[in-house]
Amino acid sequence: MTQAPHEPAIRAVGVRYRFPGSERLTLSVTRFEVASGEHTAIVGPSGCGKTTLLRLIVGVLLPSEGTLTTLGAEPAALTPSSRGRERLRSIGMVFQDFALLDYLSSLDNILLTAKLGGFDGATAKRRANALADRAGIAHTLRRRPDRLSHGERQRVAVCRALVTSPKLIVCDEPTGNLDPARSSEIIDLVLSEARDIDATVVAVTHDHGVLGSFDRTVDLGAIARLEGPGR
Amino acid sequence: MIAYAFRHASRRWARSLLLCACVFVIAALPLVSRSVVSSFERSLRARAATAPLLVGAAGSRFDLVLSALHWRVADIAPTELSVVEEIRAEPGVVAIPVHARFRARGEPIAAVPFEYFEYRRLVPREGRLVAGLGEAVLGATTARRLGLGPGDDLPSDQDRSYDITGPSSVVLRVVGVLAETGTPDDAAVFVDLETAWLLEGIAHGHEAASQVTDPDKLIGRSDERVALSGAVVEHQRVDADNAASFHLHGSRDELPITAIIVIPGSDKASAIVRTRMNADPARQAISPAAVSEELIGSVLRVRRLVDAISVVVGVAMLGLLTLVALLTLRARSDEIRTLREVGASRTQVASLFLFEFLGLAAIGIVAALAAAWAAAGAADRLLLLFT
Amino acid sequence: MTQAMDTSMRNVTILLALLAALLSACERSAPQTRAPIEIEDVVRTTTAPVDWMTRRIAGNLVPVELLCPPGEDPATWRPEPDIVAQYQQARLVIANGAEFETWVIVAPLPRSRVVRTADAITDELLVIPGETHSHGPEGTHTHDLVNGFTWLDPIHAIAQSGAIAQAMQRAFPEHAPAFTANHAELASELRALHERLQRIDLSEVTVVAPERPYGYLARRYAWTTAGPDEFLEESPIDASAPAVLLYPEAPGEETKATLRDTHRTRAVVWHPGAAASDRPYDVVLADNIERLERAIAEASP
Repeated sequence: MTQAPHEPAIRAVGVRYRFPGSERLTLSVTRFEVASGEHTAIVGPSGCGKTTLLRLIVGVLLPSEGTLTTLGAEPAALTPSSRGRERLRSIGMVFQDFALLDYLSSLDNILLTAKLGGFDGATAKRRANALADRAGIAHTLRRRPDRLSHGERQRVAVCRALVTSPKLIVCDEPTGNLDPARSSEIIDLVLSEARDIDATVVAVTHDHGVLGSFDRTVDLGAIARLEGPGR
Repeated sequence: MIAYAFRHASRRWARSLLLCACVFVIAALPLVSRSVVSSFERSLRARAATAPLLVGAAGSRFDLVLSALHWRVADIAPTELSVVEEIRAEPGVVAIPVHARFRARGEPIAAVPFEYFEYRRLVPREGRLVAGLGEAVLGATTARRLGLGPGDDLPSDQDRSYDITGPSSVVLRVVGVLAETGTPDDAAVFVDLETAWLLEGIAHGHEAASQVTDPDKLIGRSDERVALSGAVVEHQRVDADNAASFHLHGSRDELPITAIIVIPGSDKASAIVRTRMNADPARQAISPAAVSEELIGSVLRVRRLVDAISVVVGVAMLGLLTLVALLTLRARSDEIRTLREVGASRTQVASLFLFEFLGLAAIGIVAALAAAWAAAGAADRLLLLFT
Repeated sequence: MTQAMDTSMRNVTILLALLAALLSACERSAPQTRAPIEIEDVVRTTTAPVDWMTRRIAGNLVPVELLCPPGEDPATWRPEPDIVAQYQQARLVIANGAEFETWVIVAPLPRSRVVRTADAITDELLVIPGETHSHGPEGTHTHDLVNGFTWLDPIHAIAQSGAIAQAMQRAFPEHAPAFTANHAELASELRALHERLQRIDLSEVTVVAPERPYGYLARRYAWTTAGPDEFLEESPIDASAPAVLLYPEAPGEETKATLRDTHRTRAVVWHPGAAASDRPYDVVLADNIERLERAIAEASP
């Protein structure tokens, strides 16, 4: 995805999404933009479509209506396999449940996207070690996830998102159930690494204590208009 | 992907083992049964081809073939040695008597005349061939199994342990080991016919009766006869000192053998020998080829049964395999979703599973092949046990 | 995913078939290129008399070897394994038989190539009853002793040489006519010696010979059988008649003198000739006859 200078990293115009076979709108966003290099936090009441928006941004879901451009390209215009390739190449993701593979060591988990994306092994490994060092999990690299603490697993997940030096980092509740002090450590880690590589960050969070670290906070509840029962 | 597949397989070792086992069972049953049967078939046919005619006492023709050609020790009624001369009287006919009634440390003792070694082209790999009473030459497999070589002693097994009047065990002296032949001759202890008669108690060595004075050994003495105690007379071993005292009892013509391998040389001679031998109700002349085909037929029936069982077991194992595979897919659905979301292609995800499955299947198949290979080696032994 | 599973199952099936084919391809193959035991075109004999007969029949057409060394008694000789191996590899083994060579009774020889020449006269064998004894499962039995010196009787020798000739003709059919001719010649020589023995006049002199080894000679020519001890102690059959007593080896001078002075008996050496020596058996036999003839001439009143 090649992005023209000054063009926003993400632009959604009149994007609506409803699950296949369902009439009910899950998300409806008239306009949403994130500037390149900008660190944006997305808040909003549960059920307002935060996660759906993230999945639309990375191209796992495609909008039912409207146009959505990520890093200068429209996922809907790409084939599923090139969408996958683009994700591996340009986007780092931190999942709500970390989604680590329990049979791989921390290091292998971190390197997973690099390997899947065909990045140079030696470079990726150097970067993984450096990241782990900065994240304070260098000593856990040979351990499997079941032998890591909650916080360590979270850091492994963050390192995995960063290992390919992506242009866009998407985080879904990256601080999970952490206490406020640890939450800000994680957010600081993500944001400082993102600054180093000049990456755009979009993070969904309900942890209002960390919002100050972001450039901007968007309340999705305010900009999204949803229809249907209960809303 | 292969590394990931391997990591996953070793992490879920119990499930991997189960998958391997399923594949092993599916593959091993037909492979083993086929390799055993084909090895047995080959052995039977090859052996039968070398012996156009077999003469022995009337009785089981299977026993006769398995005993004379495959060295399965069986309780076969004896045939008299004179029959050999009777058969040899027909011009151009080669007749080789054999005797297989005893074992030494579980291995069959094949008592054969020197002509047998010529006929089978058996040559010593170590040591020499039998040149005297009480000497034994081992087949290659037997030598390996017993760990014996030239110069070692090999006691014959006592076949009537509770009968103190019966012949006692004789210590055979190993003088050679035969080169490997890939035939049943590899698994036998070869001795001369005279040694078999020694084992039978027909030939023996003991002190000259007239010289026995020890009251423990002497039961009675009259002008015509001397009665000796059976417990003390016989030498256990033939050596240079007592070799001269060994002698045969009774007429040579009546000495027992268990079978005669006949190579008639012509169809006419074959027909004459067959007719003459079968005319005596106490004897039978059979064609090992025909009997072997009968044996193969019955073994094939067994194999068909095994095949049927393997199909049932195989279907069950396939079911189990499918179940395990489906459970694995379900258990790993989160992983699949994660991989897809980070951008892994369908092929990448599929290959992760495929490599793991193929690796495990390969291990199962290699194990099955190894089992089949081992079984083929032991085929003769196994089937001699079953038939 | 199911598509992937299908693919893998198909691969497994293909792999199975492939490996099965491989297995049957690399079957345990037996080494078939074994050199057989080499049978030499040579006739090996066990005693000097059969060796002589065999050589006469063979002419120079077939090599004949007597493996029992000179000075060794073929009756009690125990050949070493390498000698037995030489016998085993001979085209023909010619033995006297009649249990004369004790080693031949139990040696692992290829029976189909062994000629026990005395089998030609089975019905005429002399048996010395042995002791009856019992042990083992088959109860009472007797080890009868067969008189193995069959060849001493020239008529038997003719029959034995006939057996040799027959076996030689079978083993070397290309030389059969020569063997037949050679045997005829041999037989006629033996017959001549037989006739010479028949011509010996026994009206004035008694010939006394021990049963072993001379039983066959004694039976053929109506000699008296008695051992020297028997003869000396129990006095001769007819003390008044002069006699000759046969010895396999020359007796001591004292014995000779006693025989001559008190029994009017002459000791005569008749070599059985079983052992190998530098003199062929026919020479030994002719000398025996000559000694006997001379002794009888001297003993005759």
